[in-house]
Amino acid sequence: MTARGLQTLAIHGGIHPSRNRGATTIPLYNSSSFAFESAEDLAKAFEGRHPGYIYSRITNPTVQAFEQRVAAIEGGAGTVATSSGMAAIQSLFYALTEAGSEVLFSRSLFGGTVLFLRDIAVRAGITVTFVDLEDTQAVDAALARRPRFLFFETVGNPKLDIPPMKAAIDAAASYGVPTVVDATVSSPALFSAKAWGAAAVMHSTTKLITGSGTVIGGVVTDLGQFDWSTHASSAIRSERDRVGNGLALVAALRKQAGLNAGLVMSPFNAFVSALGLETLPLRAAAQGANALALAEYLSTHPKAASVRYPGLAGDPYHDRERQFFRGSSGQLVTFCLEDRRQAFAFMNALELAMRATNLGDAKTLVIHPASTIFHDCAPEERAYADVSEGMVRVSVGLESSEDIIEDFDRAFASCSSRGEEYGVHRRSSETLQSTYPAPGSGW
Amino acid sequence: MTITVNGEGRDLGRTVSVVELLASEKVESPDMVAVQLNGSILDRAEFATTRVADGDAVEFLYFMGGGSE
Repeated sequence: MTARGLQTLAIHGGIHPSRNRGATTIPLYNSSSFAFESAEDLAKAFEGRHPGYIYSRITNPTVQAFEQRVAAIEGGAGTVATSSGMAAIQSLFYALTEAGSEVLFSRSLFGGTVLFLRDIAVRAGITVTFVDLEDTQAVDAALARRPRFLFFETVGNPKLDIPPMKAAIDAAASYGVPTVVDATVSSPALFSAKAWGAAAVMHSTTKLITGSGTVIGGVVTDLGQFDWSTHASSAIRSERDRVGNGLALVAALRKQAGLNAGLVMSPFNAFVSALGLETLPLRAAAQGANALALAEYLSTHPKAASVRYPGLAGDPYHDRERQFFRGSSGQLVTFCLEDRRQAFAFMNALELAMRATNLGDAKTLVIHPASTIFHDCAPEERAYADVSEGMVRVSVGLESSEDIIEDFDRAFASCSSRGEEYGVHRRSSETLQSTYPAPGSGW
Repeated sequence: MTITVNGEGRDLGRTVSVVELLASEKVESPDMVAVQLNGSILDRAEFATTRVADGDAVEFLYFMGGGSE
C-alpha cells in the first residue's frame, strides 16, 4: 500500500468495517470479558496461542483500535494505551527497570513527572539521575553507566525549552541506551519521534490528542527501531525470547503495565480519544497559529514580560523549533507579571479563557504554575523550570484568535483600571540561586 | 504436505510462505503476531521469504496488539 499521509492515518487507522458489521468508525465495546467457543480455546488464548480478546485489563477491541491508530500515526511497531499520561510514564518503569536500576531524566520536566520520580520511583529503589541535556559531557558520563533509559520532553512544560534532541538520542544510542520521548506538548501531529531515532514515544492523550478536555489517558509507542538484545531489563529479555526483538517493548508493556499492574485505558476513553485523533493534525496547526498570534500580541504589550513561545522569531529556542517540529512546537505560551497577586488578578479578569489545569484543549486555558502544577515542588525545582510567582501559562485554544487577544487585552486593561501595578518582571531562574541537584547527580 | 499450526494439523496443497500462512489462517492483526518455526523465533523481515516445509511445526503467538497494521 502507498504510504498514507498523517491526516489520512489519523482518520482511517484502526477502522475495520468488515470486522464490525460495516461500522465506519471505531465501535465502543463496553465489555470487561470475552467468551470463547471452547475451554480449550480459552486455555490456548491464555498461552498466547489462540487469537481473541480475553479481558479488558489486557486489552479490548476499542482500545486496540485506538492503539492501532496511534501506532499508524507514529509509524511505530505497536502502541499500548494507559489510564493516564502518568500511567504511561509509570509503565516504562515496569517494563524497563528493577529495583537498583538507574534511569536518566532531563532536568526540564513537568511537575507531575518530578513528583512521581521523587515520591514513587526513588522509594521503589530506582536511582533517578537528572542531567542537563545541553551539557554533553555530563550526558556522556551518565550514559556510560548504561541507565535503563533516557527520558526527556520535546518541549519542557512550562519552561518551553527544546532540548538538543538529535544529539541526545544519538548519544544514548551509541551507548545502547533507549530514548523515550514525552511528546505530549507537541503531539504526533507536530513531532515525529521515529524520524529523530527515539526508541519509544509517549503522550498524555488527555491533551492535544483528545483535544476536547474530556477524558484522561496516555499512550506509549514502540517505534520498532531499537535493538533490545543487550538491554538488562528482565521483562524485556523475557519478551524478546518469546516474541522477538521487534515487539519486545510492546509485549513487556502489555504484560507488566496492563496484565500485571492494570494501568489500562478504559474503552470509553479510547473511543473518545480515537475521535479526537481524527482532527488532531488540523487542530494542532490551528492552535499553533493562534499561539503565535497571542505570543506576538503579548510580546508587544508593556505589561507582559518574559514572553515565551518557541515560534517567536526572537525566542531562544526558535531555531530548534524550526529544526524539529512540523509548523510549530505547540500551543503553550508563557509570560510573567510581577508576582502572584498580579498573576491572579489578571487571570481572574479573563472572561473567555478558563482557569484550569490542562493543555491542548480546544478552549483557551490559563494556569498559574507555581500554585498548581508545581505547588508540591521545591523552590529549586520551580526555579529550574523557570516557574516564578508571576508566571502565567496559556494553553491557546481554537477560538478565533481575535477573540482570544481581545480577552487578554481587556483583562490587562481591567487590572490597570483597578489600580494593579506592573513593574519589572523576572523569571525565577534569574533571581534564585538554584540548589537543584547538580547535573549528573541523583536522588 | 502436512504441518502443525499451534498444535493443530493442516494439510496444505503446496509450500507456502509465512505471510501466506498468516493470510490463510485469517490472522486479523499479523503485525502483532510473533511466529516460531520449529521452536525458533522468526525475524519479521523473514516472514515473506521463509517457506514452510512438510512436517514443520509453526506457532503463532498472539499478544493483543496495538500494532499499526
